[in-house]
Amino acid sequence: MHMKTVKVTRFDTASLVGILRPLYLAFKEIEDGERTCFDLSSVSFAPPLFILPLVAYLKSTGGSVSGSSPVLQSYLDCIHFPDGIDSVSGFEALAQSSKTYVPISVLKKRSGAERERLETMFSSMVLKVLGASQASSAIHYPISELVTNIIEHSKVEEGYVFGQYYPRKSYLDICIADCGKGLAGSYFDELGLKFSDTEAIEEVLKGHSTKMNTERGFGVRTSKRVVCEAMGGEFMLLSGSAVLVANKKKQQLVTLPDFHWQGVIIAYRIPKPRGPIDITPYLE
Amino acid sequence: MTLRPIWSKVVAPCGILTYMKEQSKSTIKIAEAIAPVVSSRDIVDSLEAMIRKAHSTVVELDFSDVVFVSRSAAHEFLMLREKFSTDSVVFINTDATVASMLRTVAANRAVPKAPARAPKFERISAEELFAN
Repeated sequence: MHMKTVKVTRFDTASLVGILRPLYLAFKEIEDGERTCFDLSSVSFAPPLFILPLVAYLKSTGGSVSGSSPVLQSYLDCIHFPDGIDSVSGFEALAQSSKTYVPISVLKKRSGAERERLETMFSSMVLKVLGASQASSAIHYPISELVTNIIEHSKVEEGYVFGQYYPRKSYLDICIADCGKGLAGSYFDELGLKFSDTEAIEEVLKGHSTKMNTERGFGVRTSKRVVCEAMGGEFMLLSGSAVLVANKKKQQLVTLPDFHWQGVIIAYRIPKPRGPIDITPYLE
Repeated sequence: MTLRPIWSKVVAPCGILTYMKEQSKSTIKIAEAIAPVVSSRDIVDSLEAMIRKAHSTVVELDFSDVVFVSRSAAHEFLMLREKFSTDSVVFINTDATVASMLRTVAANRAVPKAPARAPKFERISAEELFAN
């Protein structure tokens, strides 16, 4: 059976936008759900904002990757690409063999406490690799809020989370993704509200929950504040054809032509914390 | 809703048969029942069944070894306690981080904080975004 091949262009790692660009260019070549072979021969490594959507896409559609250099292939093997780890025992075994690489974690909605334990292991390993125990709440908070958001709203069985710390650059990249109904889809299904993808992102950032409960809906907004304001990082939220790119000073909303991600991708980058970080002022 | 007390038949010294409320207590260790990091609302929901099964007048939710509770989970823990009444479900052994999250969410439930002013949304094109 014929499979389309898409060549992935090089990443500019200076910012999340520099990683989004090759992701956008690759996926705009693909029809929704089309089985695709991603040619990685032009890239020397792959950051979480690229790896995780690729994992989610390959898992939901089939498809494959080709052309990885030996170094890149070795890295992909270390992080358990593309299957990821979906059990505590699997994560424990991998954590024993690799002290540096946090594996791709597959969080299954139905597995309940097992999922929470796997997420605990993921965020604890991120904290350990980062060496930032004094800032543990600031590390745990966005991971826990954003993962629970995806588990609750995507209406699919699986969500994915992956992170990589870059010691030479002293920053951590985290990505969380699903192939669910997306933000606009959630507002429509839960509340009957019709929003465009950009409007849906705005609503999320205003703290308007997709659930009929005024005490909910703070998770994404407060996580963005913790990442951008408390930690001085960058934050990205992508759903459908829209993306929000934010830092401490600005938030930009962009429609991505000829591109559609069925679900949600959240990515953020934080510099390594140098001391304790109080997240309380950012909570609502 | 409160947990149903268990009444025992007791014969008083004067020989009269009476009933006495049993003060039974159970403890659920959150780190064992869920995980050391509690994130999701649905998992906190599942505690409700465990609390009922305990058949005790007081159920202690023991947070020892819990290192973090998300805002969403903290909100769910507080709602759970309200559902059963604060006398029958109590939180114990919360470390500073967990206690702070529970207090922050409880305070905000009582008196919601005005939302912080976020930077305005700047709408730009994909070309502008990738040109920067």
